Amino acid sequence: MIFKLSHFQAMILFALMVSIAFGFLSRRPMRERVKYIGWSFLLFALVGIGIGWLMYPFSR
Amino acid sequence: MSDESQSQQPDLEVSSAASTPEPAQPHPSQPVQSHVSRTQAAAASIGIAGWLLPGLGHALQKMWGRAAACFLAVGFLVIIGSGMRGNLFQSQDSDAFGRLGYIADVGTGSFYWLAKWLEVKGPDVSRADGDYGTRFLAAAGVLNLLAALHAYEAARGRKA
Repeated sequence: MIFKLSHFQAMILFALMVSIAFGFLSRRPMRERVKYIGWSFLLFALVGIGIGWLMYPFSR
Repeated sequence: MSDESQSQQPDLEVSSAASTPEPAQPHPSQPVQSHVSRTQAAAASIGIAGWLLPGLGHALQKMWGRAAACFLAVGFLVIIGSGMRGNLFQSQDSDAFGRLGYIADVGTGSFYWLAKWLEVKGPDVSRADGDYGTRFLAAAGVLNLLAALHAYEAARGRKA
């Protein structure tokens, strides 16, 4: 079984899985969990994309 | 402290009775101590169970949502990581990074062997995919260690 994922897909999957685990471990009511998972996922993705753009000038 | 203060109040009646030794009686705090050590042992067992099988530590405490989330998140990361042909570190690695990577990978518990079994073609870190796969496997291990620690703390009554 071999997966071919783009950089973006890999980052999104990683962010989603880690956010879900963090949310379930650190928050108790489901509403709080969903809020935490959403925020954590959004920040993972935004920071990842931001760092990608910051490195862009050095890649060429 | 209180035991000391009590023992420092000998009066004459007590000193006269001290010459005839009484049979040793169990200290009142002994049942409490044995209960605490039993709780500690149970918590440690729950932590080890959580490490061996992701989510089992929480499942034993009937925290079904957390158990399912840990099992699925760690399992998914391991499957994707080995599917991307990430490097699964070995115990014989000589450099420090290899040993650290091995500790992180072994954090997945029994899923370490699942990743080995899934990775039939071996690792390929010559491409970015394989490198990402290595990170996925290490992240799965660290996440599972965190979950096992959480289950241990919950069993000790420190976390809800």
